[in-house]
Amino acid sequence: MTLDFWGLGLQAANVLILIWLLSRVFWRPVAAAIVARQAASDAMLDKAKAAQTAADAEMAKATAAHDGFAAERAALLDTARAEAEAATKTALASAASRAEDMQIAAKATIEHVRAEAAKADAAQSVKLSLQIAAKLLARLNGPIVQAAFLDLLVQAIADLPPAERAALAANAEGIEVVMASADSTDPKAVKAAIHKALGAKPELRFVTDPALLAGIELRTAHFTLRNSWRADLTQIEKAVHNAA
Amino acid sequence: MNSPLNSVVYFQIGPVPITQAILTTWGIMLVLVGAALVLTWRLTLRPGKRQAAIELIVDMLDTQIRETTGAEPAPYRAFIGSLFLFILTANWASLLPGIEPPTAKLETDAALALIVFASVIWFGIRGAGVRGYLRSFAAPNILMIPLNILESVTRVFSMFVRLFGNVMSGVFVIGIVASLAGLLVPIPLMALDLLTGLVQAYIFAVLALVFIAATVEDGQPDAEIPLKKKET
Amino acid sequence: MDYLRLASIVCAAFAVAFGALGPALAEGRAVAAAMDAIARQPEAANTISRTLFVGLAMIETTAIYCLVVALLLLFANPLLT
Repeated sequence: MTLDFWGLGLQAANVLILIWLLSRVFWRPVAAAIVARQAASDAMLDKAKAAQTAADAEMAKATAAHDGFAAERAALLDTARAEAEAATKTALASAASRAEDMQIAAKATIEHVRAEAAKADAAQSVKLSLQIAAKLLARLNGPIVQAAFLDLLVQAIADLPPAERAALAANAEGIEVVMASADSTDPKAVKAAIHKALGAKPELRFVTDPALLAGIELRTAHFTLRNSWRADLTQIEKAVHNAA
Repeated sequence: MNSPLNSVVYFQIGPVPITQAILTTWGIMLVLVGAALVLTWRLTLRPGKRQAAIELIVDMLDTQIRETTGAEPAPYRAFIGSLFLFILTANWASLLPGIEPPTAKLETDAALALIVFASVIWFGIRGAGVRGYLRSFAAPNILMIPLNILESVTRVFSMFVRLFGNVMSGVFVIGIVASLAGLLVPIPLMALDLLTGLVQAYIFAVLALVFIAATVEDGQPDAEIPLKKKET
Repeated sequence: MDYLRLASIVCAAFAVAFGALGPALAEGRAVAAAMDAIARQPEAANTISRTLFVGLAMIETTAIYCLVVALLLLFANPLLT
């Protein structure tokens, strides 16, 4: 076996040259291309990530702004609600007080009206009772009653102070003797009784007035001696009215 | 029958005999560099089919280097890749009629083995410095120095003989079979020869890589700490 | 001289034959073990097959050595030249 050293050296040189050439022509450019693409994709990824971070920050800002708006809105709503509540409360309070006032006024009015009504009722009833009494007394107009009234007239004349009695007796124009009806009493007896009571004989004119119901009254221009149911009733009415 | 150990000399340039293996090697160089030029014509950022294919090749090589050495593939890529491509092309050159693979000759394999031997030293010094490279002989301990020196020669020699024996035996067996029955019978053997050629190219490249990586690793810092302590 | 030639040829044949025996058995065992490992751990198939190829090449080297020796005996016999 012989090893050809020239051939060995030549082959070694060949292979070294081949390795060098291939590294220049093949391996390095391809690896550089791969690295370049990797760098490009890395840069792209970095850019995308940066864009994403920016977008995230924007998003966070927007969210914060949104939250701020929401808080502001909530605060506004709260104040508005509080104001509305206060307004409602005051309105309610004023309405209540006004209602109370109105109630009080109405109560007072009612009270007043009731009193008025009661008063009116009382007056009415008095009037009614007096009318009833008048009607009843009217039926009692008989000779006995007239005689009683004559007695009472005589008594009243006797009870008059003497000055008045004298004035009455001295009345020149005459005295009107008013009676409820002409037929129930004898005018002569009446005339005698009056003359006797007065102690004088003034002129007497007999007048009939049904409004008296029953009784005998003396009237002059300045003086009236009341002695009848009517006068009593009127007196009662006055007394009741005053009492009410 | 011609001895497979001898080469045919075609002509002489001065004192240098130009054998068939050398001529074939030149042809392979031309083909490889031309193919590389064509394939790497206008590499772009967006790869086409052609660029994707060659990038796939480079990527595969990078992955292999990374898995085997655990280091960055950039310094070794050109050397290991070119070695693999050359041996593969040379092995498969037997497919062309009348051409004998250059790797079936002693000179070529011896040259490849020498280059690997030199590259182990070169990468060892480059990766760990002269001191680191020398220290790599003392791994795992000082007693191993003679054995390591012997191993650094024998492993390269075994690479040389392995490549030569495999390729030459394939060519030799095919030659014998073809001389006995020329038609169709050698085809399975040739197919086997293709597989053997691929596997041998792969193994040669991987072994070179492993030797380089082992040398660089053994020269690395963890053995450096006690030395520095002694110095200070 | 003829005996030397005969002995060289016979020895070359024996070298190849016995040189192929050991590596053949060893490669069989290695492949069987690798298949077993791949069956157990299919995800490690890449690493296992790469290591297997390197190992097979190492084992086969011994057979190749024998072949080279046989070739030396046949074509570059120092006793015959």
